[in-house]
Amino acid sequence: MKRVSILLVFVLSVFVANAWSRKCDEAAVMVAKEHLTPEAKKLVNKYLGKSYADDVKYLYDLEKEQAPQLSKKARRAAAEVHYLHLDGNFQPKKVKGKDALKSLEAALKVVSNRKSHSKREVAVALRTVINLVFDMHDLSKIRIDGIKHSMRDFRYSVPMAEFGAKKDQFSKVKWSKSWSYFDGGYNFFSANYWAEDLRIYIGDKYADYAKGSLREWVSENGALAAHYLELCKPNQVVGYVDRRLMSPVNYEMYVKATCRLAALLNENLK
Amino acid sequence: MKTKFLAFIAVLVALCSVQGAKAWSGFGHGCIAYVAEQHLTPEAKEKCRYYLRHTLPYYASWMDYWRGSQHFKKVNSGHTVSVLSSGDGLNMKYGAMKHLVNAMNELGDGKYKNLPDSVVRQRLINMIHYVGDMHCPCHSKFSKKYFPQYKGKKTAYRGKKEVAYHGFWDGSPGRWRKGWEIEDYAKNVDKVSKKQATAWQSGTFTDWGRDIAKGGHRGFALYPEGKDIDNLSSKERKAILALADEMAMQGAYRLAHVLNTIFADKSIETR
Repeated sequence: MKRVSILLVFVLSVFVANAWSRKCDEAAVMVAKEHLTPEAKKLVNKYLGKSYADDVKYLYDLEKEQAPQLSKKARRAAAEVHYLHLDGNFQPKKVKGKDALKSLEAALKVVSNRKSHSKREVAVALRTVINLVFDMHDLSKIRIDGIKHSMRDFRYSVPMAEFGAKKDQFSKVKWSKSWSYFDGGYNFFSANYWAEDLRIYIGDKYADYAKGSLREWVSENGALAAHYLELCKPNQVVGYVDRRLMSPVNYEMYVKATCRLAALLNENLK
Repeated sequence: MKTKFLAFIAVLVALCSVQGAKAWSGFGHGCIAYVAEQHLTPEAKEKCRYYLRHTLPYYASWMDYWRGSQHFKKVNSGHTVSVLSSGDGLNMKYGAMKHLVNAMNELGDGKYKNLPDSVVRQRLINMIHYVGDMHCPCHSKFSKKYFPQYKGKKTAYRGKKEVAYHGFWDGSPGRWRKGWEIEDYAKNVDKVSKKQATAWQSGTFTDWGRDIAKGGHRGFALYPEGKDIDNLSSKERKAILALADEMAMQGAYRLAHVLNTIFADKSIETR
């Protein structure tokens, strides 16, 4: 029964779109694998197989497969698994149900105690880790006490241009899209090419990005989310330049997620 | 209700105009930068990556993304080539040509080494965009005085939707090529012979400008005025793609040439 419930939590955890695009996630897993210790790499290959692209696709396939069988309420409850809940000091908060941190820690526990779990359970736990490490670096998936608008998605306005556009020419931007989509689209980048770009950006700074513990990363991400939630509020205007300066921060979060995924796997696959 | 509807239309028009101003679209720019990257010398590639901390295609549309900022207002003309008259009538002190000449003078002959990394980086980011951009057929800005025939062109259509001249050539490299990634484009289109590449890369910037203006004239000749672009004959489509690809490849090979020259500590005749 316990095993079934663990599996259910993991399976339910894939009902919200993963942070960034599928190709970006594939690239991040590809690059993260390059930073694994030989031991961790061997174990990841054992549980997930060598094709990382299929691992990411598997989660999406599962999402599509399970969605029609669940009620709206059940889907909404399951979606909570993707969100971090923090107190006003950006420390993880105790929540009744599941949240991203709880689920991630549970999944990591299964990975590190893999000998007492079936191969399938470990594989699902590893996929959950991949999914939730990306989610926790998506600033729109962080809910902070005292910041009311962090509790749900919202739209803010950005002027079409600092000049030339008339006063009422604004584009409405979704908070969630600001952190799950790279401005410029890049849908013409293949996963391999995204990986190439990530490698260049990370360079020899992998250790800097991977430094710290899971809970420290959560607090760090929470503080950053609070900063941008101060800038972006429902129906408020965010400056043209301010909005554009969010783009490199989004990329940096993507890089951090990649390096920290590798660090977590290295730590738990000894 | 009426006000809301008018506001909606205003936003729609604004969106269309912003889109229309982006030559080659994100896909086209990405492809040009990707092909250029494949033709960099190992040294130039390493230096580009050092300064950019990204691939070339990552920054291919950066100038478009920032073009609405007050700080970049003055470089907004940097996306086009000004053709004043036939023959030598290029305005080298305007637009992309001016920026290219300035960038080469500032970075060439090893001068980039004396500059702060941030300055070199910004020059490179801009160059990756406008060297490609100026090769788009709709980015040859023809003087109305000498080329009145290009005034008042009828639009093309996609179903009932109008596809203006600028937007038509903007989207041309990716049109009818659904799902293509930049590697697909390079694999299928970059079949340029060494002889052809050398011919494109040789000469002065003025020579390049003349080639670009020729492409601009061909762009007007091939524009399917009044036609539905989804119902063009295969011959028409082929001719449109051939021009788009040829101009994109010229841009890619010339971008590679400029970067290879800068990082070989040499310079190009900027006349």
